[in-house]
Formats: sequence, structure tokens, C-alpha cells
Amino acid sequence: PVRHSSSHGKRMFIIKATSFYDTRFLNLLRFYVFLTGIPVALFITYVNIFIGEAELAEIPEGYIPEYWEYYKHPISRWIARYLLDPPEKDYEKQMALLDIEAKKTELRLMELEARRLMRHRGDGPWYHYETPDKNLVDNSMKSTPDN
Amino acid sequence: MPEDRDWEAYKVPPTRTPVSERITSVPNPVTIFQTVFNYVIDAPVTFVREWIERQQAKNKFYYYHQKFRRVPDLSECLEGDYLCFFEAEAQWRRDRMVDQEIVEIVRERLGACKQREGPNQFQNCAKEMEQLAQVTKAYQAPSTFLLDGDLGVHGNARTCLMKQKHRMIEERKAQANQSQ
Repeated sequence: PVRHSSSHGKRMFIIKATSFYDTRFLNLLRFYVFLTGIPVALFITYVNIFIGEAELAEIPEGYIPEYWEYYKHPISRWIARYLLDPPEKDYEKQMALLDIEAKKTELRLMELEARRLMRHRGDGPWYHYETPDKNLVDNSMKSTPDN
Repeated sequence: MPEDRDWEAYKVPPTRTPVSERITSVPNPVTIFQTVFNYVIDAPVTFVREWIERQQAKNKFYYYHQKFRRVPDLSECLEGDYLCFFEAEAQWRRDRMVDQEIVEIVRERLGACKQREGPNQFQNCAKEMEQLAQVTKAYQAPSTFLLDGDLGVHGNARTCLMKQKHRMIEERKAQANQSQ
């Protein structure tokens, strides 16, 4: 009597490695993924079925659309409206950063130029070095020509 | 649900399948397939889709394509005016994306024409080929300041302007050589 015979064969105690940890991990993974995954999926299905996406239309005469009305999906519109800044503000923020950096480069170049000129001409407030007093100089070694 | 494109913009020529005469009395299995498909799959799906559309039609809202204002070009910016550079660069990139899409659409039309015509594509698709040649030439060799193709992925407005300047210098040199 062997294992896989059609009449009931010998009962076997099959020795294999434990799958306890594997099944526990997979069960926990499924649980935690579905814990928030299923409500999110239901919400998105609700939005797609009952609210639906926007339709493309020509901009009516004399009407300036709000910045969130350039998106199609209702959730993207909501995010653009309540969570993100308007793109005009983003643009202005980028331009402000560029402006600050441009002014910084300009000032740094001017400082280098001023430093160069003051060092060269010597008539500015920088590059003054302390020199010892001329009365302290001892000229006795050069006083006679035979030293 | 993605919508079909605008069929009026580029009309496909009419099909030329011949009308066939019935020879046998055996019913055409294709019609049986079609009716089965219609009742089993098509009708329920259409019903659900129309129910969904009725729910969505209660509060409609629209989205628009953004129109950007034209700002001064890179050639009209003073040197060192980084804000002007930034705006001209943004405008140049938008224009480049538009031109890439134009080239892509013309290329698709040529491909569709070739697929349709089959063996007589070289005669019947001359118009589409001409259009594609013109559009790619305009895209690669900028005559206006906007289109460009040879700059690659890292091209920006400044490299395009430099390329145009070099091209004009060479043209002037060639003219001077010719006139000598």
C-alpha cells in the first residue's frame, strides 16, 4: 500500500518545513493593506460613478476659469483647489527666488570689483596694514659703509 | 472612459469592401455570433453605462485648456535679466511641446494612410508624406524662433537661439562667398 493509491493507502506523516511564519505574514499583510485599501477603493469608485469626470469645453467669452478648472478628474480638481497653491503663486515664488539669487550674484560681483580696486589704488577704507614706526628702525648696521 | 477623437477633423476615406451575393442556404455564422454577442455582452454593458451617465448628468462641470499669454522672447530680453529669461524659457518649452505633438499627429496620419492603402501607398499617400516632410523640416531647422529638433532632450531656449544665430552667420558667409 503506497501513498497515492486509489483505495485508501497508508497514512503518512509528511515532514516539511514550517509555513506558520509565512502564512502569518501574508495574513497580516492582507489585513493591513485592505484595512485602508477597501475604503479608498470604494470612495474612488463612488466618485467615478456618481460624480464623474469633467467634460472638455471651450472657454466662454469673457470668463476666466479658476485655476482648478483646468483638471479633468474631480479628485485632482479638489486637490488643486484645497491643498495646492495656484500655479500663478508658484510661478511668482520661483521668480522671487530667481530675483533674490540674481541680486546676490550682482552684489558679490560688485564686492569683488570694489576689493580689487581698493587693493590696486590704495585709497579706500580696506587694505590698511599696520607697519612699525619709523623711529624704531635701527640704522646702526648701515650707518658706515664698511660693515 | 476615453472619448473618440474628432472624426470630422480628418475623415477616413470610405471602405471599398464589395457587396457579396448569397450562394448557399446555410445561415451565415457571423450573424449568429453578432446576435449572441449583442444580447449577452453588449446590451447589459450599454445599460450599465447609460445608467452611470444618467447619474453623472445631474451635476455637470467642465474643464478647459489653459491659454497662456505671450511674453517677450529670449531675443527681446536684456542681458542679466534672469526673470525675463525664466519666462521666455517657460514659453519656449510650452511651444516645443505643442510642436512635438503636431509632428506626432502628422506622423500618425501618414502611418494610418500607409496601413490603409497597402501596396499602393507610395502613390496615394503623397499628400501626407509632403505634410510630414514640411513639418519635420520646420521642426528641425528653426526659421521662426520656436521650433527645434536637433537640440535633443537638454535643449533650452538659449541653445536654440545660439543655433539659430550660427545658422544665420553661416548663411551670410555663404552669401558673401557667392557674391565674390
